[in-house]
Amino acid sequence: MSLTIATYGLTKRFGRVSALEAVELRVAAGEVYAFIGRNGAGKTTMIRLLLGMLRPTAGHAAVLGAPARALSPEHRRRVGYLVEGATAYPELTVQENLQLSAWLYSLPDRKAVHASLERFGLGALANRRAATLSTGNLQRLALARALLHEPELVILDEPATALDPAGVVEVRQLIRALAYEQGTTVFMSSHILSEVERVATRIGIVHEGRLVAELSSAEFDRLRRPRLEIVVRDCDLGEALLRAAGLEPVRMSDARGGWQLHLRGEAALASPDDVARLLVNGGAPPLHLAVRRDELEQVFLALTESTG
Amino acid sequence: MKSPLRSPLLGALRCEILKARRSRVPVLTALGFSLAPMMAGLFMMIMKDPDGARRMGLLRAKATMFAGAADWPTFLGVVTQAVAVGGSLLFALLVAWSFGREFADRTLKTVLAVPTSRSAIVLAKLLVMSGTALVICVWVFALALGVGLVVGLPGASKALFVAAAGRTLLTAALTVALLTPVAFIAGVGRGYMAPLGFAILTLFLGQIAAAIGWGAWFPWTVPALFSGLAGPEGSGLGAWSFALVLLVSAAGLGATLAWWRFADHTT
Repeated sequence: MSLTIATYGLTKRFGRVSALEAVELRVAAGEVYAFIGRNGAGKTTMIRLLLGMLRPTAGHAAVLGAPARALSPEHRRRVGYLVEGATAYPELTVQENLQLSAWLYSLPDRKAVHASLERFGLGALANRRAATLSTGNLQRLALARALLHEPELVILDEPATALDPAGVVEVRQLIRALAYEQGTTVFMSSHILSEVERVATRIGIVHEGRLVAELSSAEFDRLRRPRLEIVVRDCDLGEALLRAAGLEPVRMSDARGGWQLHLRGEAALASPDDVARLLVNGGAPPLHLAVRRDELEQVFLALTESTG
Repeated sequence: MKSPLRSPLLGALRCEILKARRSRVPVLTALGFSLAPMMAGLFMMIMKDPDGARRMGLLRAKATMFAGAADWPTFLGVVTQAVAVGGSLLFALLVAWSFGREFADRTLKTVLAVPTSRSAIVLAKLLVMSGTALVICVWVFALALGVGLVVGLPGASKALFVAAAGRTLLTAALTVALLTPVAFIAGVGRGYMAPLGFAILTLFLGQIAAAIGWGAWFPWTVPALFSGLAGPEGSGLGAWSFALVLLVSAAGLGATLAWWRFADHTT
């Protein structure tokens, strides 16, 4: 297996604060590796270490087989980087911003720039100054810059942040196309977990500087515990009825600001019909009752809370 | 063999030239500097025609204090001195903008990840800003010639113009040489404010150094003394004065390169 990224006991401390602690990471060529964690968990520090922008306190990282701390220009030419929070030179046009990158990557400028404008749907905005772009278009420009030189490895720091739903879908499709059609390795940090689980082939969960779990798609599937999700009009009554029957409901708020009851016990999952009957007979008929599996968010919370 | 058109320094130079062309900062700096020959020309006009100036409500005494005699040597001397004093602030603004903007616009992290070496990027920024400063000087001198002709100053000669042009360009070169520490401070201070503060501080300290007679030993006073601000006899400059300027310039360049090369960039 050819490794695109490998870290060996990678540690970074800022004074007494430990940003990353002895992280062992292996990312194979062609993978979409998502590095997820709460704010301040160490995601951006990891990216800066991989790009040689920070010196590790201990351990080391290798990118495309070379030490990250001393990446040669030839190695850097094979890496694309999207910084968190799209940036561009505001007084330059979209085309000029791309042109700048083309010069810095020693590309045959016009061809690469025009191809990139077309690929990212920026043709109509080519002569617009970056200062006048919407956040979504600015992020698109930043992505176009990161991928202008067709790198083998793309490092994306929060690529879907500040994008509208259409933009999020666009980024997802782009990452898929990069990985599955072009064989590009993608290393991304993100806190939009619903997006991560849709595109990542492997997920690394970092918590307080430590890599607490690394999950392949199959492993992640195994960790997605099932639950019986119930919505009743009178949540207090429903909860009391379930408790009286020896079940252990957990009350959770839902996306609409209401309440749901979650049951995880085998008894409830084996016979949802009996649970429904119990609630109907007790005067709290369920408005919604379904078996669902945990999403990445729940897996993430379970893993980080158990180690926190 | 790598084509020279694809060399990292050339690529970085093209980037910095494009940024400078699209920015208003160099143009505003040139416009600000244009005030110097125009003001000097106004004072020359007042001294040349005091009755006309009095009718216009302008004070002759202040103009005399400022410039001395209304002729080409005095006028071009004032312009050269303006390049020395004004340049230490306005050229510092150019360098502070070029380096500080990467922090203000949050583009630094992207710049640091490209294959073009950081040394090439630093050198390109310094070269383009130095070039811009020298172009502004040429513009100011050309404008001064125009203003002098319009005012109709006496005492013109080819030798005077050549000597004044040489002195102005050398003064500008000395001022530009002292910009490397400004670039370093922009990195350490992560923005525009610290380098501008540094430029103001050196100007202030230069005044003190000149007042107590140590101007020739204080590098930031050397361009002003060379420009003739203290008169031909008052400069006290020696070879060591110019060596100090070069030393500060080299130290500033080294520090800037080292900062970009080794510093942990945490913005």
